[in-house]
Amino acid sequence: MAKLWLMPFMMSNWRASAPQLAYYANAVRTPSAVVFTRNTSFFNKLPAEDIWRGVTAVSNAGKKRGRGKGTGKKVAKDLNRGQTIGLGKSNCIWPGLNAPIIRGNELTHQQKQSENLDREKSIISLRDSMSNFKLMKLNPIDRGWSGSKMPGRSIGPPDAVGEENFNLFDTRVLENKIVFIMKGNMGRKRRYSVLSVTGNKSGLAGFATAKAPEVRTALRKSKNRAGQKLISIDLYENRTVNHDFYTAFGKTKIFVFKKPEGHGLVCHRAIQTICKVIGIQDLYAKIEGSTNLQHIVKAFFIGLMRQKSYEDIANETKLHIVERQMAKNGFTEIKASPLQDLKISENDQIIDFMQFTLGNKIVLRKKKTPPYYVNTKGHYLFECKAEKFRNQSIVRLHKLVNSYT
Amino acid sequence: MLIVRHLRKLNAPQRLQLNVDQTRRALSDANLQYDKDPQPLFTDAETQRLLQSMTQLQLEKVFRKRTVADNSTETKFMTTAQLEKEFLLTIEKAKKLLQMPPVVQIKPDTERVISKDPALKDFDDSKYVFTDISFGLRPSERKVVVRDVDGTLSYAPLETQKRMNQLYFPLDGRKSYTPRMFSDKELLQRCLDEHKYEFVLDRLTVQYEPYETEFHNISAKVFTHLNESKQFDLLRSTRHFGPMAFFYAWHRCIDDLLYDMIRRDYLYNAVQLIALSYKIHKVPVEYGQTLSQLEALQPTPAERALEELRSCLQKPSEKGIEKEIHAAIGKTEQDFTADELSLKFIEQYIGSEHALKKVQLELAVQTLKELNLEKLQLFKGLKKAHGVQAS
Amino acid sequence: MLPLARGIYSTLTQITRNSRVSLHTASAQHCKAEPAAENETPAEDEEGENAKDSASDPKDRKTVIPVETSIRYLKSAAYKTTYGDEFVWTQYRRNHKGMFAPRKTRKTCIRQGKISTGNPCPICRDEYLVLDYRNTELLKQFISPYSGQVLSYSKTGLCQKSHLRLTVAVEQARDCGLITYDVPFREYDYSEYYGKKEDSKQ
Repeated sequence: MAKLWLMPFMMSNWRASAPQLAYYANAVRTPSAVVFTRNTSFFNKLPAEDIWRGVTAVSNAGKKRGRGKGTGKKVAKDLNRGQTIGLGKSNCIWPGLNAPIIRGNELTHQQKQSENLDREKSIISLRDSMSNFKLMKLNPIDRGWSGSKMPGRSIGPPDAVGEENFNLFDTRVLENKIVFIMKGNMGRKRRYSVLSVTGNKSGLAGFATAKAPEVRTALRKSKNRAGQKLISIDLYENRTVNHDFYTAFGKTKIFVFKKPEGHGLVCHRAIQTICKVIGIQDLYAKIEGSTNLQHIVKAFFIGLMRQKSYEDIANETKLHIVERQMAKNGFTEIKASPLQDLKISENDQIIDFMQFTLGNKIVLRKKKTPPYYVNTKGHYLFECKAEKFRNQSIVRLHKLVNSYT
Repeated sequence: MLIVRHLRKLNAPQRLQLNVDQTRRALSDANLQYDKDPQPLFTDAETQRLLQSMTQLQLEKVFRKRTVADNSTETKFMTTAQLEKEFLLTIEKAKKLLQMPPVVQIKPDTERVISKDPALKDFDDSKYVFTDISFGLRPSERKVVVRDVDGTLSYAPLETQKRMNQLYFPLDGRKSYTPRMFSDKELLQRCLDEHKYEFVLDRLTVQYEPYETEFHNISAKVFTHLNESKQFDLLRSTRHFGPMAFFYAWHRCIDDLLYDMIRRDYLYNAVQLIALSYKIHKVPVEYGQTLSQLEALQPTPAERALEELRSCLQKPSEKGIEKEIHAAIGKTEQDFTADELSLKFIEQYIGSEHALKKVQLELAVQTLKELNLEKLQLFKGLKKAHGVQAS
Repeated sequence: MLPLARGIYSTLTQITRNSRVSLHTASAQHCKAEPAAENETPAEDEEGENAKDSASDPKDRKTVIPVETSIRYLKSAAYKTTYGDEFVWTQYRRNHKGMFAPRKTRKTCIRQGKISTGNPCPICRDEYLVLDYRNTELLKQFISPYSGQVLSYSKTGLCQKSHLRLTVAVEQARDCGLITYDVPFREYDYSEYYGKKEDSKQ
């Protein structure tokens, strides 16, 4: 009889249910109180793996029919976690199992102790925490370009290579997409392609694409590869580009303009992200033609690399370069002077600086079409009615300003 | 030896002591007024030259970064000739920005009746103001007349005239009501305690006309406070420095400003300040000769600024060793001779009865002398070491 | 190993694993720190009774906070832990549908003495930020260092009511001389003041 009771102990998944174990333990101690039950069920016949597969996965056939869309949300729980052999619902000392047989000179005896209520609770809470894996709430600042997607998000600095570590760097994902290739034996092979850019916010940056069968590995690979391809970029006052420039890659054409302090980044979101990583704060960029993301990134980086310093331009043109600042009451500051002066006659035209730096390219400026309603009678009436309120907001503000509390 | 000299000076005639007391009382009195019309003296060509020279022209201060709606920059190519023209324009602009607010007497408000028409009595229960709003007139030329309830037609009082002008041709920055900063004494005091002198004076020029009582009261208050806090450098190279120096010279309290000038090694300015004070109070001391001698030795602020602008164009190789020595020490040979001249003049002033804080000034002069001597020795040594011929 | 200790240990490992899995989010903890810090401040202040009220309902905005308290709060350690060295509005983002935010922000965050929205504007979310002309430290955070103007609500995310109060407070502070600004240059026409003397001068 005892042998029959001990049978379940030998099953491969006997540890799966602790309460049962405790029950058996009790049964062993008091064999007289046994009630005959059928102990083979769906749960103790199959190994835990198979049982869990029933809820976490879908059969191959099912997958083909489109079943199991929500797979991946449910994860198999390890029910053995937080449990130890010999410790159960009823808090008992089992010499040789969870306590030494001889303590000092005395032989320890099997002994029941006060019941531990927390144990069950902690096990249950542990299991709950395992099941519903919650997405971390992201700060709105750290969110990417769109929703919970990767592009635009930061993935930390590249991993250290030997002694060299990238402490001040920050990497941002620019593109994360699925790509396929055909393989002879596997057919369509799916991989993730990630384009990311890394930089130290003071003119050192690099970008790279990497592909991998897993998103995470692709992210890591591209991040580390970007760290290996750093380019040093000249910044003006550590905040903007040296000068306006035109750059192109494929069908993508970009016009980049240097802007005064406080202007901000007014450009495509990919260029914005690159600029943030490089350390550019004020810039305007206009893209003409294709907006293929990889081309934008490449074109922008080429343009940044081809920038000239003011000294080089001055020597090339043999002219002084001056900057007039409106914030300083129109004060002109000499930025660079040529090594030798240009001997120029009165009639000669001096070229425009912007024309020079843009390489004689002209930005396409579309004519603004007025809205359809401008010449309608209704709009005219609206303007007539609104006219008498044109100063209302100013007057209201003045009244409020002069009523101190 | 020195102490004995000081003591002798401290035991100066009784008259001097009286003078000191008077001035102190006047200074503690916040409302220092011009007792007669200061305008002829202020607009005098020599006074203007002295004031402008004292103001100095520090380019980075005149063209400091301001908050503007459009802070764009424009990059250009320029030839050297164009650049030269640009420099001159810059100096012109700086002079314009340093234009001193006029110092004039308080204008009394007189009633000028045009006609009395008793027939129009009680035509309405409020006054009528008529304003000529034709384009291009100057504010003082603009005719504003008032028809009173009792039928009198008269020229509007100054206050009304100013308000009507502001209504139809608003001056940028002027408020139609008195800003609380000027009406509330505590707030004004707080501004002054935080050393916002330039801001207060800038606002004053915009808000009030130079002939108004408030303009005189507040500017007197600011200058008095400034004299106590001794932060004269805050106003240096702004449009308010000239009127400030004029104010101190007029009210015989130039000593603090003088001390500041000596301490900062602006000896030429110190001489000018003393000369100005002599001129205003008609003290029979010959200052014209010293001034003209110094003038020959020292460039005007505009010239100095122009030179500073031009120095950007020179290549380091062209500068030569002499200039490098000058740059290292900050003075040229001419400066040293000018210093000697001005020190003589200043000491003469300190010795006279007009100086009030003799001990302090004496000490400052002494320290400066020692410093200059050291510099001179270093200068000569450097020249010798580099083998530059003393010219 | 005791079961309880083991349970704690395993949760700990779980947490660290989670944080490793989750992407680089420096400000996740910052978010949590914010309400905690806000609850701290009343404890420092004199009004102990108000503290109980606000602790009971964090959305209640019926108690009027005096400006002096706000000025002190801006200098306190609680403020420092909440916002760090950044402006009060830098960490705020508007919630909106679609690609572009509506042109105007919401009319008001506080209705009938209560916060009526889940994402109140930077001023309304922290009741110890009081817009007043004396509170210059706060006002300076909303003034552009380049143009000298009050920053637009499209940048700061303030609700319309707060923005109006802000512009009024800034104007008042300028009027009182508490905030300095660049006064427009006035060019004098000397002949207007010296008039007739012009001839004698030459």
